[in-house]
Amino acid sequence: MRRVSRIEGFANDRRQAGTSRDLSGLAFTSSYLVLLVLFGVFPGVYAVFLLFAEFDQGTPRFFEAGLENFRIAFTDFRLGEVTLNLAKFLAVSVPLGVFLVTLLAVLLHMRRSRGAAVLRTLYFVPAALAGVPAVLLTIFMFDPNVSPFAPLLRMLGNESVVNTLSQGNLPTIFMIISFFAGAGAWIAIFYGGLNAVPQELIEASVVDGASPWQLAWHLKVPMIKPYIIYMLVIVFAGNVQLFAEPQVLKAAAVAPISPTWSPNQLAFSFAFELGLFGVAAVISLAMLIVGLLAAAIVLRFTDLFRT
Amino acid sequence: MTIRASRLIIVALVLALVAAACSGGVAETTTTVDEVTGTTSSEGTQATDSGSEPSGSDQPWVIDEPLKVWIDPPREKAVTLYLETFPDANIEYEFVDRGEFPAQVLLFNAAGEGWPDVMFAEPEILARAADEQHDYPLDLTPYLSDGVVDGFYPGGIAPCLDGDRVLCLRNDIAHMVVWYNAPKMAEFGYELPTTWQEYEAFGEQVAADHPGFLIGAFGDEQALDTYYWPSRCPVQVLDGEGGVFIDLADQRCTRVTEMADNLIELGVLSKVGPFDPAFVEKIQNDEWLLFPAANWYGEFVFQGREDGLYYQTGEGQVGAAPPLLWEGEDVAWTGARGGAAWAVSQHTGHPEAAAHFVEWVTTSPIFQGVAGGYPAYAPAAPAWAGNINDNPLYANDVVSVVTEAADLLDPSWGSVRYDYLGTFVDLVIGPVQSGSTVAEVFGDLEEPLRSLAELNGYALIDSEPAR
Repeated sequence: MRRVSRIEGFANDRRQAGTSRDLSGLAFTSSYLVLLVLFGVFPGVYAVFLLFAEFDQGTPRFFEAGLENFRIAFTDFRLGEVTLNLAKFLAVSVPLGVFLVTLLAVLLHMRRSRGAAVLRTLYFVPAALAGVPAVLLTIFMFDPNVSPFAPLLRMLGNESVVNTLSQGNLPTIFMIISFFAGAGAWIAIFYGGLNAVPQELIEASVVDGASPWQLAWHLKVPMIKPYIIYMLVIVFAGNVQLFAEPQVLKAAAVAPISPTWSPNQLAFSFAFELGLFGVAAVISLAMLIVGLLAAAIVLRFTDLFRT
Repeated sequence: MTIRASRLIIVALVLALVAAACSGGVAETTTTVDEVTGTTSSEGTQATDSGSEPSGSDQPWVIDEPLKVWIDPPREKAVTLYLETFPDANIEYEFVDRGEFPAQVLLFNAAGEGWPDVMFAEPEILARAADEQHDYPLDLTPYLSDGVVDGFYPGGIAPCLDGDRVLCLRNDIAHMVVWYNAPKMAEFGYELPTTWQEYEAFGEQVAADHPGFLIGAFGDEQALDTYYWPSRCPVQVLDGEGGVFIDLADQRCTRVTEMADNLIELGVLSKVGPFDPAFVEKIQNDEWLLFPAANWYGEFVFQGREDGLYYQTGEGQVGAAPPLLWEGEDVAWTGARGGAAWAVSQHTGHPEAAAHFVEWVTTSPIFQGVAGGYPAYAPAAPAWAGNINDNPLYANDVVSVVTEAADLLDPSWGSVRYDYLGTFVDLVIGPVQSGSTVAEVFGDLEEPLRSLAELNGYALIDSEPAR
């Protein structure tokens, strides 16, 4: 309570000076807010209306479907499979992604040489290849006939791209694609967080005889915990929406993959093949709820907003 | 870290709506080829103005606003040749990704405008745009010349027919023949099989005498068209009234499955598709004898030209043999992979002009002679010979083999609205490549296909329609 009132007092003191500051803040964020409302908030709210809408030749008739869209979505014969596929992907991609990013950031921070700065930039490079080009590159990387890693792939028993991109490997493949597409940005963020760790704490630990690893594990990682939790929430919510990777892999037709591998593809299929936008809205919002639930659970058991 | 796909979709949706809203204007990629002069043909203009009279005009192509035609780059010739033949015609064409077309139709329906007057796409795509939700194609029956539909190969026009309605005209058909390695067949002293039973025995022989040589591919969606379609396995038989018959336990399916498993086990039937680098390498190394595949493989895959995929030189390496017969049956039916069609929008303001264009491009030897694909309209077929006669790749009279096989294209293989090929690849090809036998997994296809059929508005029927 004391803390809150202190903040209020602080705000009161600043209120008059703050008006123009608020305005300039608004001016700086306005272009983003307009886009957010147009392409984020509005479609989201529209999707809520679509939940109960019936479609006639692409034209919605609102509130006429009752719960029919929910029935179609939740009794669909592919729902179990897409959920399982997504669960496998999340189980691999979220913990491993967070772990590897933390590890790389901490390693970079251990020796702050010129080489580390170069590496930090290098980690960022694959982010330029996000999405479709990343998938196409992946196809080449995993084809033993053209890949620079062909000997390794063959050693692991892969004679053709259909072996490497076989159905059992897909969650891992998608994890690799999404990891390289996003890791660079997160490493940069974590690195910034590590730089903010007070130097006197680090020096004190070193004086007390902490090894670099002890320093990392007992001091640095706990100090950037809010960043790690933040990444966990964002990456989980993002990965629930897996779409481009399986869609492009399917379109490239190099390996057998279901036309509806992920829930987002299932939603896409309902919307744009069958014209059932209401059913697609049900699946989309279900994914949103899963992401929000996961975020709520993470925040409930951690202290992200209390630090 | 994943691309925010839902946002992409929303952006795409908004862009498409904007595009639809602007459809009166000319999009960036649109090319206006010709404008009506308005002075050259007053008769024609009068006749078109009467509008409601089907096929009543002498010059139905003379219209006051351009016909909006959606094509792919190879079909540009269709428009330019039409405009050379009918200089008063008025066409505006656009290159599009036709895979997106059914989705776009929904957006146009919602916007109430934006549909192309004429659409070029595979019958599968047009079928998707023909259900209740999309309801795109116009019934061409009143606008076509008398008897023109009868000129198409039955197997070619079948996917365009819905009961009495003619929803599209087929541009080309891609029926299959048996391609063979002429020098190697002669060298090994083999005779060409004429039946599927002989084909299987041939595979056993090859496996024993010349292990490593291939006699076909079972590694992508083409396997279904190549092996199950000619056997008339009831993967999807339509009754013309919204019903579909599916029975994968039928003997006409299991005999193919058994043959495929045997030949895969022997190593003569490739487990990777014809475009997999491993398969291409086999062909380039001349380690193949037979290959049942679509008629366009000759010009577009074997090629025998410098930039060819399979062969970079033409030295009489490749011959074509007729489709194989299942012993005990009367007709050696064949399947197909590919071949597109032209449809007209039911929202068009110029049905006569659109139908005239569609009829001309599918039937005129002027375009069909240079179109590339085998004409679906039988009287135009001789013009196709000009495409391939001078290719030194061929070891025999490929033209007459392909021409005779066109009549054998089975019209009873339903052109359905759902992605049966993708499902087949996912549930059969995938597991087979991971070590399952076809017999173990082919039956797994039945339930998903039934569910997809129902989801897409088909009624599942219990008895096989007459074929």
